[in-house]
Amino acid sequence: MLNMVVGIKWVPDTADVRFDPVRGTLIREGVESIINPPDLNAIELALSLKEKYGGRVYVISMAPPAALKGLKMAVAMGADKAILLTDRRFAGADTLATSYALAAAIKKVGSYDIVIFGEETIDSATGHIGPEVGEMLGVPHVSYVKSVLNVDVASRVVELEREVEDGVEVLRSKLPVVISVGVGINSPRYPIPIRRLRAEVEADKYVETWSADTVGADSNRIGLQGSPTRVVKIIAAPMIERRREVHQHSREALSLLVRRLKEWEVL
Amino acid sequence: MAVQREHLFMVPGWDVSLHYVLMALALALTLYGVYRRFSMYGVKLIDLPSTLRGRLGLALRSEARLLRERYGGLMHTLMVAGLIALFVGTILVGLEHDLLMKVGQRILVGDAYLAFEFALDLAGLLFVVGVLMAIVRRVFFKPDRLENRGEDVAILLLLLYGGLSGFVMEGLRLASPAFSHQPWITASFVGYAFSRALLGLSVEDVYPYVWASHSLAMAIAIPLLVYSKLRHFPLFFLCPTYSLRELKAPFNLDEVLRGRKLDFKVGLESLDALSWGLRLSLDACVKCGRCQDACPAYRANKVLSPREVVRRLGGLMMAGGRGEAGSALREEEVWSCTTCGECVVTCPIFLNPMRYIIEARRHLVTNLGRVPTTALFNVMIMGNPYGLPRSEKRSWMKGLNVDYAKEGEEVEVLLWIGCAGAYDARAQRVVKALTSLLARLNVKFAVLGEEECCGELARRLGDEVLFQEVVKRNAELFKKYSFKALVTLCPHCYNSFKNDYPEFGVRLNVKSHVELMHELAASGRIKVGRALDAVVVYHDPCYLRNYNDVSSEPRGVLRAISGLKLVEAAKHFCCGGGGGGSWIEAEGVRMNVQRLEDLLEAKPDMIATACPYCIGMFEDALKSKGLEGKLEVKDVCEVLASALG
Repeated sequence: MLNMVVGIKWVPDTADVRFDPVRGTLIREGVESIINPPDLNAIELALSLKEKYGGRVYVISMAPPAALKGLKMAVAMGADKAILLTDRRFAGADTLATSYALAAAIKKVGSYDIVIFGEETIDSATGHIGPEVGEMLGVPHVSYVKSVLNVDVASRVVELEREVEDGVEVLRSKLPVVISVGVGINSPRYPIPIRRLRAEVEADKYVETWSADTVGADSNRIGLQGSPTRVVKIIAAPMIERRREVHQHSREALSLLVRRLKEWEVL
Repeated sequence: MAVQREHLFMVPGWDVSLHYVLMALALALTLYGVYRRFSMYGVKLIDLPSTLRGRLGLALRSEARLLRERYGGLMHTLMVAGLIALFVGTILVGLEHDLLMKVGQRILVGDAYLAFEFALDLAGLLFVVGVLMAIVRRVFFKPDRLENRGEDVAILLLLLYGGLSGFVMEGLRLASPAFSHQPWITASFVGYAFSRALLGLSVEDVYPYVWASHSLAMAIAIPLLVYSKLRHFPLFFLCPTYSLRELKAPFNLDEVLRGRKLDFKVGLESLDALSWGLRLSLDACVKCGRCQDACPAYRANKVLSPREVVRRLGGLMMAGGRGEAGSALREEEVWSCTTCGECVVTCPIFLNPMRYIIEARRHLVTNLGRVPTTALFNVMIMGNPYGLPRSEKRSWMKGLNVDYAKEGEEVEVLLWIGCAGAYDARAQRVVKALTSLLARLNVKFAVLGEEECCGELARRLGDEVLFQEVVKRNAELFKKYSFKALVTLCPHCYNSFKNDYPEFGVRLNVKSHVELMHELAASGRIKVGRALDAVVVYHDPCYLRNYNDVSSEPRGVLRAISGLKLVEAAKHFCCGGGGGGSWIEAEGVRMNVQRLEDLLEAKPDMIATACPYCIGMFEDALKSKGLEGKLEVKDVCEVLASALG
């Protein structure tokens, strides 16, 4: 039996987010929110581990109540329970304050074996949360996990594959462990439609709402107060027009290619 | 001797007693079977009267469908026509003997009787010929689509015996001394022929036994109307029809969310979850296999055969029917269906084999989340099956230079671009052709910018929750704008708006773009100027032809173009793109290639159609046949636009 906790984030679909260059802010109006894509892979990994070893899958998100939609989707995919960690006092949290609150909530869940996060979020892309939560819980943490090869439940050892620049590392860690996974490591399953209805109709059974007090968080370490970093300014990177030319395979095309690459100072 | 019917001539008392005993047994057995089966189907007697309405007309249409196939159709019509006439004849004889003669009246006398004899002999002859044709087909031709079990031939032999023994009896009667020299007996021309062969026989000794055997044959045949495939005949009249257009929702999302109760069953979770009519349909099927011949998936060697689906589910029902119905169908089978509906428009007794596949999908997807494509996840998250961002659609539409719908401003036409039109490069060209056509004709139209998927894919793939969520969202969208007609470019959107949405209170004046073009052409607003010298084959999108009877309109538009020669494929088949087909990876023989080959047989210069899926499927097929660039596939509106110069 394994208990998994998956942390997810309900994010605006950045493909649709535009930048307002005058005000220096993101235009989120009319933009739909989605589950942060690698978090879907995290949920899938947890569910497949549950299928293999038994146990329970908890999904947790620190967010305003709008994130309930994402949590319910996770329940529809097969999570046993979803926890919405929500409190006005959490507002303005940077990754440190977020990790602190999440770690407090995970401790409250109790006996966890594997905590899984998506590698990074599409709206802030820090990649901090996994490692930070690991540190705060005082357990091993592994990022860029590609797959879980084996879990020895009896001796409480997990064997993982970790993607690194020039290959794959195979690591062994004691349980509990915190891992983070990249997008595309598996194919997230379809949220079961009837379970989506169930999560909606019988929400009390599947979703719990916790506050800072529920998880016993120190109010100096959460929200804006607990955040040493500040967003000072957002700058839009200028768009570079990508051009594509298609030529038939020929000597002329090749020399054209060489000429172009030289023009662009690639060669 | 008077020219009249001699009742129970040469029939001894024991024969009559035996006859009544046999008939009583047959009737008891039949009634028992009816009771058993009705409880198995769970027939709601209260629904029966409405089901029976209009059945005679349907019966004629049924024969017409059968006659689309010459041999099989003729054979059936001969048997049915013969049987009906013989049945009426028997009723008349009974009427005269048991009723009229008791009050001293007769009808089967004189010339009327001779005409009656001639008609009945003719009916018997037709019946026997029909049965013989069927036997020849079963024994010698053995078409692939028929099961050809021993039972099939046995039933035919019984019917043949019934027919022939009738003639033998008539022959014996006419060979008896009382009749053999009467000049008028030739009216019974078949019986007369038989009688000449039977002349020397001691007819009175033989007759009672032949009579008894004829009676026995009938006593066996009557229960067979319940216990064998002959039940298709009575069940045809009792079976509710399930139109292609109607896919009743298993629940109403709003009501579920409001009532906070999940007390319903979705799809083919078990056979009990089906309506009684769909259960009865399983038993009514005569396994003629016409649906199998019409099925594009079967033709492409996929595991699917609509006949098999019905046969297996029917078998499950007979075996108790409590087990999980889903296990009777393989997932691969369920996902091979393109929902083209050809099996439904082909079935001679108006059954809907496709419906079981849809119900199986509803179970697989809605209850179990097992869906073989990410397209639905994309619809749920991105609002389109392509999984492309909403912003991409908006930026492409900006480049179209057309008006956007404004609240409080009515337009003649609200154009529903659809997901293909917004994201698929090929379909985008169709949108451009249509919008420039409408602009040139001064049609006041607008597009929406914020629309998402129409939900058709979700419904055909079996996700009833997602579908109804989409309907709710679109209902809000349509409320915002006023328009005379909603015009679609995609037959799948069209069908969904027209036939799926009304169930949820969303009633729109929906037109397919080919209907709009046809109207414009008919009203003289389109002046086709340039001649287009081309042989064009038109491929019917199933969701226009089979679902909505829109097939003459696009042809009308094409015919209006001078120089254009419209040719036809031999038979309609689906391109393979519907019902999720475009989104599910197919292995082996591909339906689009087979359909392309059908069309190529008509030797066209160009393929015209009216559906983005069809266009995509044919362009793929052209590539895989190495014909890319050699033959164009165009939407009807593109063909029309090019003729306007």
